[in-house]
Amino acid sequence: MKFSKSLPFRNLAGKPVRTTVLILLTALLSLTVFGGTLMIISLKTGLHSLESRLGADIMVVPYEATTKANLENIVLQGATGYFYMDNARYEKIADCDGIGQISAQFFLASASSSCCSVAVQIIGFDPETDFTITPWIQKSYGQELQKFDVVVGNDLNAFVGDTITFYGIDCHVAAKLDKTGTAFDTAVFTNQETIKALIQSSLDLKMNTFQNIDPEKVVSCVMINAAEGYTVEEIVNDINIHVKKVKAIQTKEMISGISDSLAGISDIISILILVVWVLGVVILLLAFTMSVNERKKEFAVLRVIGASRNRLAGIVMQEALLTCLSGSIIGTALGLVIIMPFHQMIEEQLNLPFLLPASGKIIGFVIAAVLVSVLSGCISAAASAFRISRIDTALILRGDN
Amino acid sequence: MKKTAVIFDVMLCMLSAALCFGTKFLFHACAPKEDGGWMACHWAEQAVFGLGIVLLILSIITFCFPDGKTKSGVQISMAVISVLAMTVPNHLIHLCMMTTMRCHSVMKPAVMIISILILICSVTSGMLHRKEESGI
Repeated sequence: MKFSKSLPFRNLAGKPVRTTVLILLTALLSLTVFGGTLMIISLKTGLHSLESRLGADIMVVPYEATTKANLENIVLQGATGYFYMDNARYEKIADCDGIGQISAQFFLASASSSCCSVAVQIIGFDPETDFTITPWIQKSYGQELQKFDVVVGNDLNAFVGDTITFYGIDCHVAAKLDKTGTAFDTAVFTNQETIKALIQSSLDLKMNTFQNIDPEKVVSCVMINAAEGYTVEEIVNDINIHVKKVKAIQTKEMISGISDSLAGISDIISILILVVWVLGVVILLLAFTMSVNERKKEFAVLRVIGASRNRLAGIVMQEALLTCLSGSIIGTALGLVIIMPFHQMIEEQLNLPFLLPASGKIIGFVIAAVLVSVLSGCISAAASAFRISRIDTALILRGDN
Repeated sequence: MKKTAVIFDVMLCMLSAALCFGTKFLFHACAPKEDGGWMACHWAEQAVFGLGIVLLILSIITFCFPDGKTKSGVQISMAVISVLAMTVPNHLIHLCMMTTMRCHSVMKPAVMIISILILICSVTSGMLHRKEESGI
């Protein structure tokens, strides 16, 4: 028998308004579950990515940088900015006890030049000592960066082989990094040789706010990993007490604010999913109950002409399965259409690290959301199906129900 | 069959209007720079706006033709134009440097989704009009 001629399908087609409402309700359920879960997972993946990208226990910056209140914006939110301190302070920090790994970084913000309609943050590192940036650059680019080679973050509209100009110096894009969901996606990375040349060029063009610095004798920040046997707190205190005009910060402290915001948003989304879910299931339960109640005579006639009790229950369950399956497919498809193309906008609005999981995982979420929605719909319909299979035909047909 | 085709024709009209006016007012590209100059994405917005106007006019013209084959022909041209509209942001005309910027995060996906919907509707409606004409 053709599917379109089957009794459950014709029952649904015969009541288009009721069917549409049920489909829309299931679509809302699956949209909430799929969209909400994907949002929570993406936020958690983003935070995990940020933790692993920071990659150091301690960050030491010039004291002025912390008072300007833009340090966290620069490090965590992708704002552009730069600050410098003498190399001598780097040497002093390196002499402190408990330093396991230490490496200097150099910051510079590009001007809105030919390549860029907005300024981008340029981060320089020392390839010989670096332990924070090199490991994840090597995933995209296995070779050593040459002078004027740059590696661009995933959110920059530049590609391998392109030439981008910073302060009149042409730089070659050697690699493009994988998406991290963090502020590093809008940054440009290069070795210290290149960034010193860029800083010098910005000074020559009088486009650098620090006019009295020698690029060869300054660093922007120092990244440190604690040696075994030392606690991070001990090293932070030691640096803050013994090295003047610098501020040592635990990187975990820096991202604690983000963790709190993320926990808050995750809780809100979880509650929302739960509320919509409970409401949806209750409404579906009522809808199926009312639908079956008003069709009691129809089912009684079917029973009289020979349909078994199981057949009646089967009709109700098949109707529920059809509406829930189509609704949940529509809901998850809508979720995909909203979240996938607009994830950048969501990231911008939330102002939190946001990284979509791998496509395999997303397919898994789609299947799970469809299954959960269909299962809930079928469970809601099961009670009605059981009741209709137990009807007293004679009583119903006498109109005394 | 005819009723379904008319529903698709109306949807085409609405989607074309959404592409045309939405690109200009709702999901527009980045704001002008501080010095008043426009970034590259502005010209992509203008191009999509232009294509949106053409699509809107074609979708209105469809209602003027009684002949199913002519309607179908106009809708095939709309399908081609919708593909062109899809390729304008960042392919034919470059958008801004950062993909976090409005032109990448709002305008491009919105144009893509509406253009895909126009493509689907125009092909479906075109096929329905042809079937209707040949009496299948």
